Amino acid sequence: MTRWAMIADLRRCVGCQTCTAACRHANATPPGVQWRRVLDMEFGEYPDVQRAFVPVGCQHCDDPPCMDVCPTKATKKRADGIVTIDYDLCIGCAYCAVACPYQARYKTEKALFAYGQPTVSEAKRQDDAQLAVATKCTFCVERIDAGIEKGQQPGVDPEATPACVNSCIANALTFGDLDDPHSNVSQLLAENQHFRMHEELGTGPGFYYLWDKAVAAGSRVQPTPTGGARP
Amino acid sequence: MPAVTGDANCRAASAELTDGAQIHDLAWWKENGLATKSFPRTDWYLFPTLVARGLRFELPYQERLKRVGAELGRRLHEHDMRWWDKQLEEYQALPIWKDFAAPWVAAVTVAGGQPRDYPFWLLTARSMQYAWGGNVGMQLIKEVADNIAGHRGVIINTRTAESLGIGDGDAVEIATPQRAVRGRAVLRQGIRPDTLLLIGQFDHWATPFAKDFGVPSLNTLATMSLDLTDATGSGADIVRVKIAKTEEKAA
Repeated sequence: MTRWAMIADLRRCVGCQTCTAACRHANATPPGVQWRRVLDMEFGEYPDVQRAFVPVGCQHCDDPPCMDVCPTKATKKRADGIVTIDYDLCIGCAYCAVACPYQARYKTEKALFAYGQPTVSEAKRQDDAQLAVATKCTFCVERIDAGIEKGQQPGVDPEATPACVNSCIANALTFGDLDDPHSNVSQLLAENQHFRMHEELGTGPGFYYLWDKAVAAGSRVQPTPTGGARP
Repeated sequence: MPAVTGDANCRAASAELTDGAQIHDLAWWKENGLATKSFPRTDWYLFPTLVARGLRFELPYQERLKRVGAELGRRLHEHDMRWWDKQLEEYQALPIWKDFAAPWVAAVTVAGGQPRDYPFWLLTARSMQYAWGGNVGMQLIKEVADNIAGHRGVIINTRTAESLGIGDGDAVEIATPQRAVRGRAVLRQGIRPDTLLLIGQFDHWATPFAKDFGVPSLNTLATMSLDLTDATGSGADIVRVKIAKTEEKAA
């Protein structure tokens, strides 16, 4: 089996916003619709304060709350873990946007353009199917599917890899197959301490955050930034 | 280094240095240790004179800076030019400690204010997203830049803001004795309590889109002053200011 997942290395992200810009270009989302966002966060109080840039977006959960509340079954989960939205079935009720604990979903009622009137590029790429429905990060599923058809490996071959991962200037984002113990993502998780957002909710995100090197067996337990603890 | 590579390097280097006249292998260099080639005396520059007079090379920054300052001072004074005298004092071999804050505090008095009424250091910073500003007319860049704290207003220490009754997003006025700008407060922990930060300098932009940012700039408050100009002919982007919450409609 395959379980596509993304990893953000919080030690490497510099908050440059290139992934956000790349996502908006690749998916032609309207102004303000950032399927891949990077939060600028602070921890502690002056003078003992740290800053962290935290990439967020759809977590492609094992048990997605957005799917359970969808009255039309527009939101589905594929066998490879990617959570999808069928725009033809979506009625724009936005229950999913409320249910998502990651604030990952957007809904745009009317066409929006960068400078009011559409540019040539915007007019060409405008997709009315995305109006008045829920939208979110797709893990660039079209690139993944097309790449696999060509024999490419998502996360390794750029053509088959999400645009945000390709664009990252710091190599902070990684995409790959969790079910393959030799994959890039599996190796990173084995070698580093990591957490998932809102783990306590039981959603099973397919998005992991690295924050330090793995602790050797028998070492002291260290707190995670979310307040939990990992051995 | 593998012996084969080392041997090739030796041959190539000796060939290059002698224009192909001598090609020595690794074994030759191991045995001889060094090789010499002629170097015209005219290419020695001042070295023979330095040796003859028992001189040494001057230290690049310390001594050279002091010498250049003395030379520059003489040239200026020959023409009775005295307006650079204060800056000439900075051409020192080993500067002693000096009060860096003093010129900016004094500038407040010169501008007609009381230094105690302008307790903040206002700084500016480059924005990673805007870089040199060539992309400032692009909506996408503003959109992503706004995700980074400070692009929507003035960054102020959270505790300082609370002591002044300023909340996140509040309209504020930043003022010198001479001028004032208005914007919104961005509360952050990661800044000194006595410091304010205005990212970018876009309030003078006149081109479409960028002219409507509505974010204040340090440049509007900074004063062109010879007293704040250092020996390099430049000055630091620093202004002593005060900040206060202001009415909402003005922001």
